[in-house]
Amino acid sequence: MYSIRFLNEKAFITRIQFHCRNLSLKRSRKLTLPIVLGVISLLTLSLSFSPISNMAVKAQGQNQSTEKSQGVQQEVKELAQKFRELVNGSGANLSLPQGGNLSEQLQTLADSAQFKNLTQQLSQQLSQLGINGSNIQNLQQEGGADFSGLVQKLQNLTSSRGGGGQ
Amino acid sequence: MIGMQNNTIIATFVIIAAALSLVGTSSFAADAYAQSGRTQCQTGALIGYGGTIFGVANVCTNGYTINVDLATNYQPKEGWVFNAWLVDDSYQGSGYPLVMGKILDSGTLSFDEIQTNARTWTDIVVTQQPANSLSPLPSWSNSVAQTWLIPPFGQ
Repeated sequence: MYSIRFLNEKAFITRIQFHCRNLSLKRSRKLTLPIVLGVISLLTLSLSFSPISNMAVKAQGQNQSTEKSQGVQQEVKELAQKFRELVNGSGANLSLPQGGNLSEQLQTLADSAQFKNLTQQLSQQLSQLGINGSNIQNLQQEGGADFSGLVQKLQNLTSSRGGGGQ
Repeated sequence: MIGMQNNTIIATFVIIAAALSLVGTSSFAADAYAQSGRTQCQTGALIGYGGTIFGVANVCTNGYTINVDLATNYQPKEGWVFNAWLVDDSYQGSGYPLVMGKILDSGTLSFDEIQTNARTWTDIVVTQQPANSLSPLPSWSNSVAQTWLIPPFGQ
């Protein structure tokens, strides 16, 4: 009698233990996914804020800006060279003689056949130069501006630094 | 014994004096180096890409210092500014542009700098850029005028 009761109790305990194990297994299965997701998100966060990844992003940015800068340098170079070709082709002399009346020299340049030739070529080849033509056409001159006013501005600048090469 | 001490003191004094004179001379020499050579000036017409005379630029150099005075009668369009650039197109042409700054509302710009080799510049280019632009690069497609520099520049 005693042994039968004991056996029943043992079976009961074994059954409880089995249920407990099943429950903990189910719980642990349910918890695995959030834990894995948490670890992954923590890793991602730490990587995204780490100095190494920041350096990589910065290096990528620097590479892009270097490429952009080199591209601009190339364009500026081509523009400068094309402009010089056009001026040389027209025979116009942009360098004004030192001394003498600068506004008269500017007027002489503006009235010269070479300058008119250059003007024609520039307006024809503006798009080939890669220049935004509408910007230039929309530029406004100051009211009453002429060459003597322009030269006066320049002379005010050079005299303010104590002379120099006019 | 006393003679040896005197000799040591004299030697130390001589060494210190020599070192001080070297320091003084080197700073004067650097100054003189920056100011050596004859200053040469040139005035060029800035030609607008539309075929007008945009302005004038007076440029002086002794090989190391560079002084640029620039004047224009033109005004940039609303919300834009004119920037002036020195462009290096010598030695196979790096195309490197150095910004001299914004042309003031008065239509003038003054630029002064001491450089290692101021003769390298070949051109002055004026661009029109948005006033709020954060880019340190020239907006080359919005260039409006140019002049080129004659020797001693371009060397």
